[in-house]
Amino acid sequence: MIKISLIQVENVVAGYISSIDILNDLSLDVEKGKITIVLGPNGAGKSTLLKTIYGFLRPREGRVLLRGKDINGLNVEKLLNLGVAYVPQQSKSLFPQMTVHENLEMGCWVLKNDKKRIKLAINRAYEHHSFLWEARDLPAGLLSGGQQRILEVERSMLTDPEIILLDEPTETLAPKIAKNIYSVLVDLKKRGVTILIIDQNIRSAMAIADNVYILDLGKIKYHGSKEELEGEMESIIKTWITVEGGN
Amino acid sequence: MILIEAILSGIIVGAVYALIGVGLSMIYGVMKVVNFAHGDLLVFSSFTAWFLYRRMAMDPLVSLFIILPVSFLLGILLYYLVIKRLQNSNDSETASFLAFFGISLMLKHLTTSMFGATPRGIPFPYEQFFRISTRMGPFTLSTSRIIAFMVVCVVTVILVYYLQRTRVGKAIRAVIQHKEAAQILGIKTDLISAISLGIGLMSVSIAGVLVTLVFPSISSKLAVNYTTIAFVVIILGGLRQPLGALLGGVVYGITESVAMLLLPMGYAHALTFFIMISVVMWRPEGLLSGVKVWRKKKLTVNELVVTEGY
Repeated sequence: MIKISLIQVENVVAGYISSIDILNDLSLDVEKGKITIVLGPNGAGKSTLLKTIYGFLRPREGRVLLRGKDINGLNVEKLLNLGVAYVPQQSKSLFPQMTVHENLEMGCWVLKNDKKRIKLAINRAYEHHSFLWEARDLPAGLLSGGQQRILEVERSMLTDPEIILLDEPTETLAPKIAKNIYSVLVDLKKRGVTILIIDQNIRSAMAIADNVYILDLGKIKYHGSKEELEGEMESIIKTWITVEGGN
Repeated sequence: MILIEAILSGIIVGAVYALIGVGLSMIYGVMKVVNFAHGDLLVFSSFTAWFLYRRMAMDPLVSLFIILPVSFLLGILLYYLVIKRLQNSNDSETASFLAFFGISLMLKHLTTSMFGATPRGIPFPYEQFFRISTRMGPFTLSTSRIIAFMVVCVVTVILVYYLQRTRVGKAIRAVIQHKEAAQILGIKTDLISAISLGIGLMSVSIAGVLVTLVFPSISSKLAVNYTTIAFVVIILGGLRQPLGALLGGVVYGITESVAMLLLPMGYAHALTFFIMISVVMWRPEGLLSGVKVWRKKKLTVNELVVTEGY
């Protein structure tokens, strides 16, 4: 079967301060229509990778390609219009005092005044999760942690992205709720969305993954399909524990 | 009876204070910087209205058609030429704070140089239409103040509609609450911040013009007082809630008015600030945080249905 890459990260070097590189010559492929998971210990550069793909951090070297075209330097509006969406860590992208409906409206910002499309997109989100409809007039900050995460994911889907970048989607959530979030992500994949997830919840993330990358100190240490890496995961985790314990 | 009259007067003056607070709240909300030049901007627009009245016999409310576009433009320019550049510095908040402090001093000197240091006043400008005072049942109120109050009501309705219902208004609230989140959604936060600064300056300019109707005289020395009042109003209403400032302004106005009726001037001001501190201790996030608690209680009823599974 031919693999089609939707996003290619090629030899990227990036960091927040000029003298320190967080990503060191990092390369990665995100296969179209699949769930790709990036795992790694704290400080490996996982969140930095997503910020670099989404244009919040400009690579010092290397390129980020979307459907083979360089997207370095494109602003967020252009990336959203090209079909890339991003959900950061720990429900950090909601407006807590605005209602659920207003949060969804803000998710349609790049659709400008296309009222018909905005209405359709928001109604679709309500159809997917009825609790969003029930809570539409409540401040988003009053939703539970899991509900807020679902709201963020659904909001990122309003612009019909081809790929969604998710940073730690189940962090701080109870296992039962995390399981529900993963099932939502599997549903998204069934809807044809490509997903790139950064995660520390290794076992649950592996269960839904197609491809896995293991990141350490800004470099890809291992990569392969879920089946290829499944046998090696125990020893990889042991290495992290040793490294983090040693620190 | 006198007490009720003082409360009514407090509501009217408080409405003008509310407008001063709304402006400061919007500027603080999007830039996280306290505008130290707020009172100076107010006094400058008061003097501009006085100048246009004196030189061209222009009605203070008509002068808003000149003052408002200039204020909005000034806000946009100020953002792109000064604030945006400073926000890229290592300590952007201190840098922006110092910039506003500099603007405050500059405006102070500009006001004194252009209009003089003498307190000025605009005599009741609507004598051919209304009496100076209006009887409302058993109460007598200044007609100028009633007109000012009506203007504040109209401005409030427009502002509430703009912030609650329009696309850009909602984006302003989004940027106030979470700038980075707004960026993630493709909202041009620089443009929204500039518009917000423009609207903030428009609000304080309207308040400046209304001050000429509400108080008998204006003086450049009062700039600091207005800046202080704006601080109190936004602390009462909640730092990041422009609409909370409306409530904060009215509460401050009533407190000040009643306190001045019952106590000597110095004690009245002390009491006003004592009440402010009490409110802050009671509701640290502003008076409207109580509304949130009420809504939360309402949610718990729905939570059984809503939270299942998530």
